[in-house]
Amino acid sequence: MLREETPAEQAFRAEARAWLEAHLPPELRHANNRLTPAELKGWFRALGERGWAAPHWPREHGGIDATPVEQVILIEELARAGAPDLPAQGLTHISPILIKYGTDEQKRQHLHKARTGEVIWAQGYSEPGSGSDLRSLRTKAVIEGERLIINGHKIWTTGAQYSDWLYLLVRTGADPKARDSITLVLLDAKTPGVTPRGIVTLAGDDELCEVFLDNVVVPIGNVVGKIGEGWTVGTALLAEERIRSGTPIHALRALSRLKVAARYTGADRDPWVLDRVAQAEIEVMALEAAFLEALEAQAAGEAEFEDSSRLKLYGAEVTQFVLEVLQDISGAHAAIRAPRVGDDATPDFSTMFLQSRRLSIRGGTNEIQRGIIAMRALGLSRPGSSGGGNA
Amino acid sequence: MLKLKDTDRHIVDGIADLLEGAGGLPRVRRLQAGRLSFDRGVWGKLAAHGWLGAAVAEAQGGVGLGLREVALLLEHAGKKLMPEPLVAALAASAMLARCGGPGKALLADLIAGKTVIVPVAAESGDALEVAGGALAGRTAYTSDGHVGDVFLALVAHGATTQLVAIPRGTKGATVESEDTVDGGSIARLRLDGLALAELTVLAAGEAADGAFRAGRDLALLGYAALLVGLADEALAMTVQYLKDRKQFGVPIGSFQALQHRAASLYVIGKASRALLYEACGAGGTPRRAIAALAAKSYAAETAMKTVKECVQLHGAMGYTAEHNMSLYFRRAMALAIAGGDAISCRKRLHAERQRLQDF
Repeated sequence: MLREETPAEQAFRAEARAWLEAHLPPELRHANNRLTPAELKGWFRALGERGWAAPHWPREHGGIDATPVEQVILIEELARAGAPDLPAQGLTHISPILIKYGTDEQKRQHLHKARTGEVIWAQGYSEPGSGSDLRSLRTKAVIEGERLIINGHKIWTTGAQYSDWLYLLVRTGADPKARDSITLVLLDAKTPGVTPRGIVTLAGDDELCEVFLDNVVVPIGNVVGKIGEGWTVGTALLAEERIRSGTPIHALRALSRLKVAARYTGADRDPWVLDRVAQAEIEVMALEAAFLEALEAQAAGEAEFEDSSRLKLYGAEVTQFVLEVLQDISGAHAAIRAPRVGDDATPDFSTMFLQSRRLSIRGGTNEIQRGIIAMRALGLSRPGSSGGGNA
Repeated sequence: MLKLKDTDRHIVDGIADLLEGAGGLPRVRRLQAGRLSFDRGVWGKLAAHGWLGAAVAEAQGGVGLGLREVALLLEHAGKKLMPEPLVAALAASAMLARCGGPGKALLADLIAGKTVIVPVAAESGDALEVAGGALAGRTAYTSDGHVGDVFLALVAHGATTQLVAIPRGTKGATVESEDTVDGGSIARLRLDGLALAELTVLAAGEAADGAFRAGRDLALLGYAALLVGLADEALAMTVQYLKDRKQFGVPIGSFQALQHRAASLYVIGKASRALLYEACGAGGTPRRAIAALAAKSYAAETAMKTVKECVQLHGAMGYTAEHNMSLYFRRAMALAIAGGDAISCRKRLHAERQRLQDF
């Protein structure tokens, strides 16, 4: 953040820095790989109880009503301290929807546990035949009295094998084209008939996952919103998810890795390298500014529909760019396999770069976001809409 | 951020009306074909509106806008391709406003539009070296230096520095200028035995350094703002073309290959703007120079990417001189190097980081 901080903001930064220094376990700092929920549990709870796992939440739900500036300060301090990524779907994806659409019972049951990491959530949206074209999803839920019987196959259900609960989009109507044929439902992962299977990624971890659903019985009280409202509720959720997935924390982490690598290899004495590092640094500044601006617009009720697409896309591109610079300047080191957990002096040349490929794919590919921007922000017409064309 | 406030309307509409009233893009086209980057008539109007004193406090005869409002003014001037050397004048005014006594008369003339004042820097670093009581060597090229009546320079004099005024025509200071592709100019001073004793010293020591740096950082933000506005308008024109132009029976803007390119420009354009206004808030921090350098570097690269893509998206029409995009393209080239090109900005950013021990 470039702007001048108020005395209160400076105090908040100092408080965050001191607290992180005291509470972030050394063995979790500067993790090269994504850590498992079991490894993260204690830290997640401490952060959640401090109100800092979802600082923008209202106090009544366990946040601290953080202003946009405070949120960015916290992001900067978390990155600075080398804090690990949290399995945050429960926090940033489903919780805001429960706050908005959930019953009192659902809020009581889930919000606190999501915030402290006591319950880890995974998102079951995509299916083998329904990725970008999510509306064509085929996992079916039949309503039988007070129960739903679910059958189907979800994929790219990140972290499902380590999760306690899932939230799913399922088909409850016969007409696949009808808007009211999709429903959002919460599912306890221990329910009989739920079989998750990890999928090893390009980066070598197994955070991707598929889930088989075989006659899974869910109480109707687990439906969020009304039956058939899933598309509306789920779209609101996607918008929330994307604006938060524009968080500069990945880019800030990547930038600090880049600087560590440049110092380690001695490349920081090469003017050509320094120019590329400065370029990366400026991109990160621009991302932070754009993110903060979007949070401020959101707080003022002036957010544009396309903001979340724009931030999601830009956050991914900036992070990938920083890590591409890291690769480019690292010479022979670029291909070295990194240890699982690093420190702030030993660089990770490769893992973060490998993992960064997911950023422009997950949560709606960057191409999907560009399409949304073209139509919603620029007012261009849907490809192929007037016949012909090379959509 | 940056929904316009009511008070912003006055600025945004004021500058747009002034530039439209002065002749709009046809005037820009005429000036780009010539060799003088502005007309004195418009300069007088800018003065009459108070814009030449935009960055100076009311108590000192200006209108006392904040940095954000100055950026807004320039962003909207950039949309209309204002060729006048307003950024150089605002930077000079910020320097003079910090000088007190001897700078007062110069500042008054600047704000009144009587004298065009342009800051110049050394070829490397900020300050010119003095040897034996005289200045020698060259300054770096400065945008709009060609039209400067008076130049402001920082000189290193023994252990201290001084901010001095060098009027055009001073013996020992020759203006060397090169025409730029947008009808403007860059110029430098060739100094040959320019006696320091002959020059008016406006400030000395830390006051001189502080004044020079304040003006230099303002210039960076100012050029960034012009570029942000320019890129925004170029993209808007292009999006309109994508909607209007039909091929294969449909608007070409319905083709995904073109949509995605326009969307990418939209994303970086918004980022460039956000960075500019974020940087405007860094005034009271040690990061001010870093912020300004980052904003300028990013705005320059974003604007160049934008105009290149905009020409391409217009097809053959985009490559004609007749199309207004040619004016945007040429002006973007000139503004991209104004106040320092992207690479030199990054070089200075790194040096600044080292100074703050913050790599």
